[in-house]
Amino acid sequence: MRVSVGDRAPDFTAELPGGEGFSLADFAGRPLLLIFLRHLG
Amino acid sequence: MPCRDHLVQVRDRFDEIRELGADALMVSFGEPERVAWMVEDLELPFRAAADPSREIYSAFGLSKASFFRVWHPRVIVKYARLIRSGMKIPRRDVAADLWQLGGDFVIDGAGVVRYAYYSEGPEDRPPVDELVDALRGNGLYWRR
Repeated sequence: MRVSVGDRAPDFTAELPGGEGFSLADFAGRPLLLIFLRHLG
Repeated sequence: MPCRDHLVQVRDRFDEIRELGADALMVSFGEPERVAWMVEDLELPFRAAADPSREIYSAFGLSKASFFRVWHPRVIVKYARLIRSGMKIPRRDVAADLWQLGGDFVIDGAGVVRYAYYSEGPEDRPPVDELVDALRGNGLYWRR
């Protein structure tokens, strides 16, 4: 389901290329721009 | 390549983004080593996450495009323009899914979505000016 302005962002955990894990909570307190790619090229 | 072009545009405005006290995160469905290659190749100053299982894509409701949307003339024109401008043609072995769509979101410090843009096709990305404006907290946006 799509998210809309005003919704709480879905929390997530992800892996950085170095293997380090992090979550959305690690960005708490500052605005975050999330860019989803459709292609790695 | 439109994704690559978009990342370069965000990279070139990243000092301004940092000055706003904001951060950026690229999310790709590629494997971690491919994501690392992309970060190095484009000299991205922000973090990048690998989401090969596409759990984050799914959580944000990012869907797939139709055959006709992927091969729309606008897409061909965009690719032609990027190639003419000197943008590198993607390596053949890069992670690719012609049908997966991307998107851009701004989340405020409290975890609330302040901007949502769902790309409708491969060439469709929001203007970076609009993203920076959303990071400034200038009103509430909703795009597609």
